Amino acid sequence: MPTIPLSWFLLVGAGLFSIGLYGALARRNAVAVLMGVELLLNAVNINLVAFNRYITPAQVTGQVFTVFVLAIAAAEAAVGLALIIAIYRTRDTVNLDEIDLLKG
Amino acid sequence: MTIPAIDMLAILPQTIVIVTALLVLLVDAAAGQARIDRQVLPWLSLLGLAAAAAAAVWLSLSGQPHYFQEMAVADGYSLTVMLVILLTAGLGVLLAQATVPHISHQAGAYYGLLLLSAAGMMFMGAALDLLVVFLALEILSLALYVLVGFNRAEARSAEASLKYFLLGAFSSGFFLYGIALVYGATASTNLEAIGAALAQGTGASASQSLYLYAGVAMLLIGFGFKIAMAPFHMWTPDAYQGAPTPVTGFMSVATKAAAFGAFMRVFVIALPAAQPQWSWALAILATLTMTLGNLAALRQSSLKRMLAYSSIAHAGYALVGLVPGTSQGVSAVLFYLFSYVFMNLGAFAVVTALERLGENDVLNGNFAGLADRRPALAAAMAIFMFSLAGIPPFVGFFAKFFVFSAAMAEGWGWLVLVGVLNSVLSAFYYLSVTVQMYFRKADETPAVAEAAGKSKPGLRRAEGKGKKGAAAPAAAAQPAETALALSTRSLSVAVFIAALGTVAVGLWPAPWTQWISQAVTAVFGG
Repeated sequence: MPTIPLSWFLLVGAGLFSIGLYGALARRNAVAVLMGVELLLNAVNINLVAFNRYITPAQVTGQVFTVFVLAIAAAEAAVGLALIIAIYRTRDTVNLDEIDLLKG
Repeated sequence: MTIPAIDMLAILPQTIVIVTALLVLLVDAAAGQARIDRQVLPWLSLLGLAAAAAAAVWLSLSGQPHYFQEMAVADGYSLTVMLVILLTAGLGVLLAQATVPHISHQAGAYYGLLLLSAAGMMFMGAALDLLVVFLALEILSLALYVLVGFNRAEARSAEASLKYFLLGAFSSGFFLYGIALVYGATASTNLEAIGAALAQGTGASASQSLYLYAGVAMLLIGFGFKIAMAPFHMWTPDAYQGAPTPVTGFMSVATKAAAFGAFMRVFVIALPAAQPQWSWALAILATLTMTLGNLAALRQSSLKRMLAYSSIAHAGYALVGLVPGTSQGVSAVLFYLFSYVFMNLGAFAVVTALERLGENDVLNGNFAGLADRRPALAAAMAIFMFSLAGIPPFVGFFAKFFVFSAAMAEGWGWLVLVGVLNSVLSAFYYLSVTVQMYFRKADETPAVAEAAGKSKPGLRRAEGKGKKGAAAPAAAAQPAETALALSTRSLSVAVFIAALGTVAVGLWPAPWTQWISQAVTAVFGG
């Protein structure tokens, strides 16, 4: 068994998740929010790999899951950046506070 | 090394839909050179959806569940969810046929994305593993993000898409964290293995139960975003209002059906061990969802926004059926989703029919005097509004009745009371639409002229290539009249099917409920 306890990895994952959460909630720039969201996914990846190593070392469930998450994160970034470009072309801004046609 | 035997029949309906999506994209790409009229694309999509529905019916009549490894299954429950989604997608194609030529040149991309999103939704219902739930959730969401922003001439469409995307991606982060924690607590991502592990007492130690409950809460947040449950509903009104109306109609119904399909299987099959906790959480969230949705819907002037808040309220009613976690409740929710296809998609079909070219919304005032101008459309809208309000004999009444009685059977009396009071509250805004249609004159509405005043660049472009050449200039010439340039035959067919379903399933609910409860009992037990 490795000498570093599981909880350390989980704490790193939780810390990274919190940073991503802060980025997604507090930043007003759409690109920065997208970066925060990507951090959320990567924080989970750390959890998945750590759980895989410590809880089911004989199987690769968590590792396979991580590979899928990486693919999804890439697809999400592609769609997200395309949407941000589309909105920049019509509004000349990517500041979420100024993107406010819809409300009520 | 041997390749394991794979039962491809288990994913036959989804495969048909995906192949159709690729075919639609190919035909669209070749259409210019081969001189194919792009009008065939919606028909091709409908054909694929019909074939998938036929495959689903055939699989469910054969009786045996088909397993795709331990990842996905074609059993009665998942096939019922699939049929609901296929029906929604079919009606969504009919709606789109009237609108898409006016908002984009890329009809192939529209139908392709719609079909891919439908395939993702079908996998949600069929998923047996949290990995498949996550992948299906992302497939349906990524396609929908693009569809919401499909109207390039409309700034609101892009804004709706960005908001939907950011909140959706944010919620899938939570959902994924929930999966990781449940995996950490139970050492598996397979739903039945999770259920078995928890039943044997895994997850009882302090750290494991911490992972488990935190994980369940995060899964709840992830599903809550997709079904538009308060307090995770903020994206709903914006996305529904800004999206092209056929997309709104499709996503409001199909996303709910798909998310509930996976939601119920995950919570009832994998997590019954935590049921006392999640039942209470869901009961409180359902109360919040119904009340917030109805209160906000009361004060909307845009009809699409009102329907968006109403769909939040309906997510709350459906949640009431999931609270007891019984198979009676699951069948009631499934019937709710089935009936919701007709009434809600019908309402959005009427909105599509009433939109002016280049506009993407209908204000409340535009309904005034509709009964005089278009009696059939007004009658259909009245049926949908009565049904959404839950007035018998329309299907919405029985949907609510089954959901509430499933909750009542397990002693959730106060929750049922909240639901009934909310139904009364919701009748105000549904009936006010009907009153406007039948008892107001068209000329009492200043809102119409105001809405017509802000014509968009898309308006001019759409007129130029509008198929109904005669109707489009008329719309521009008389902005004060509610111009009905968009109404085409496929739209009338969609409204007719929806109205027929709302009335017919309401009058004869027995065969449908019987089918659904049989399918559910086979999977969830008595």
